Amino acid sequence: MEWVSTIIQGVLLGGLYALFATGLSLIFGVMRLVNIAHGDLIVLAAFVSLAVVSGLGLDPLMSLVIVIPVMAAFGYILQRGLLNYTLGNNILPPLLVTFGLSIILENVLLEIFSADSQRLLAGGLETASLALPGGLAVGTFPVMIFVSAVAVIACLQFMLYRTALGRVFRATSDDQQTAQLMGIDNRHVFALAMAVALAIVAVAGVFMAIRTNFDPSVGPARLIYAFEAVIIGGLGNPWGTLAGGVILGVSQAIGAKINPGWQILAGHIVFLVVLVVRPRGLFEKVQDL
Amino acid sequence: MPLLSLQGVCKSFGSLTVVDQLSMHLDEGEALGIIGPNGAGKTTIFNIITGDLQADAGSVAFDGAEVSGLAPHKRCRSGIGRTYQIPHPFAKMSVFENLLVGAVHGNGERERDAYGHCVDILERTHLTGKANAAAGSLTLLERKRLELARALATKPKMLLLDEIGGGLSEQECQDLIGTIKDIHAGGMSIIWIEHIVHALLSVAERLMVINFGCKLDDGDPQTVMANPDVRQVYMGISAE
Repeated sequence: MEWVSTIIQGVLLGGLYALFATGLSLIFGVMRLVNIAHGDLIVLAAFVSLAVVSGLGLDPLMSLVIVIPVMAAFGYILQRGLLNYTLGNNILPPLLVTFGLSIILENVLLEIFSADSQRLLAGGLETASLALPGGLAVGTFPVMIFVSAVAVIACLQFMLYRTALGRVFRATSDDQQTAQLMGIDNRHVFALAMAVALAIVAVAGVFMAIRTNFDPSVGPARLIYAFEAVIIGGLGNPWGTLAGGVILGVSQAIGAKINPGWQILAGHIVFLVVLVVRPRGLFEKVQDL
Repeated sequence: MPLLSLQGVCKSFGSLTVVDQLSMHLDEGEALGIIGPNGAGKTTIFNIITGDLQADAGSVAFDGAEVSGLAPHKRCRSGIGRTYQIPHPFAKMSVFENLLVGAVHGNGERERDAYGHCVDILERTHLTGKANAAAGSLTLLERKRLELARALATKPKMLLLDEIGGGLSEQECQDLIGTIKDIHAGGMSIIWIEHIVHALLSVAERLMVINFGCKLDDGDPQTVMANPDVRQVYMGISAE
């Protein structure tokens, strides 16, 4: 029974990793941009929430009402004002610029908020639990995160395949030159994609901040988890990303069960095994977006 | 005033001059055919008109406005529709979705309002049966029809057709000519680059011959085809 509980914890943790990864996967899919600053943007969202919570006295979950639009607007401006200029035939400039952005974000947060470890308190939600049959109990908040991850990915899928905005994302992803010939302004489309990605990052950042301690330096580790989830699941496949997050979460939970020091390592090992055995991911991309 | 007018357009790639001081025009409702040997600069002219390439010198005016400095998506919205020689469908999207993207972004329609007009275009381009097929699964003829349909979805004032007959069988080519004739009969202004001269002559009211980026002749198709210089340059090459 203890093992069942461990696996359930792992699955639920995987929901958070899937939220970390979804935005990363979306912008790679639409504009082939590998965003090294993705983890720091998650941490930025956490700090924006912290500022909103302490400034306005809002509940952390309620702060999403402000954090999501703020991050989405920041994403639009970031893409339109900076990252669009790095895109082209060469993949190096976006890597270098987002790497630089990562360092800048980390240091700006350090300057403003100091290196102190922070946590958002959600009024007992973080310790509440649900009783399951068989004497098991799961945390209410981890369940909430997992359900949110499923909902976010389902909404993203619906948006991509059923709406005009989704069609333009897919068209641009497929062939940028032809998309322009069809009257599509790529710069605007890329900026919208980054806005959607950072709206998802906002959700991920706030959930992370309620679930664990954070400080300005934790971004790169979130980036690694996000990359691992995306690659295990197969690039460009949102449900695969959820599965990738779950596999990563379960591996970490089992590793931690065996020996608390092995939690992170176990996740990395499983990732490396997948990379060796199925380099294109377990659920190889059926299609680009 | 002509619908499209190019004045003194030049384009070089490094030391290779591809378009040299070219001036040309297209009148409203006219069908202009362009022929010329491979590498004469025909596709480059289209790329300069659509904005895929910037000219080194000269001007491009369309529908009464200078468009030389505009980005490709703005030129599309101003009414320039184009098909590629090698079809570039959005392969993972359905045929209908391909058209919707053109209608929504090229013509500024809301999706719901675009449905009827897209269904209509599918009908005219004989793609109705393929509306829900993935564009990547189409045959070459169907892909060429999709190029045409998607360009029409943007509600262009002018269509640029780049060797749309190339690679098709004689029968397929005849089918496509029928479709193009219908579209032209509806009032569409067309510039068509084609190596298949008889196909071109069945639609074009005026013929222009390009060689080494320069205009060799321009005028009534029969007169142009009778020009000894044209016969030497064009027939000479095609007889090889």
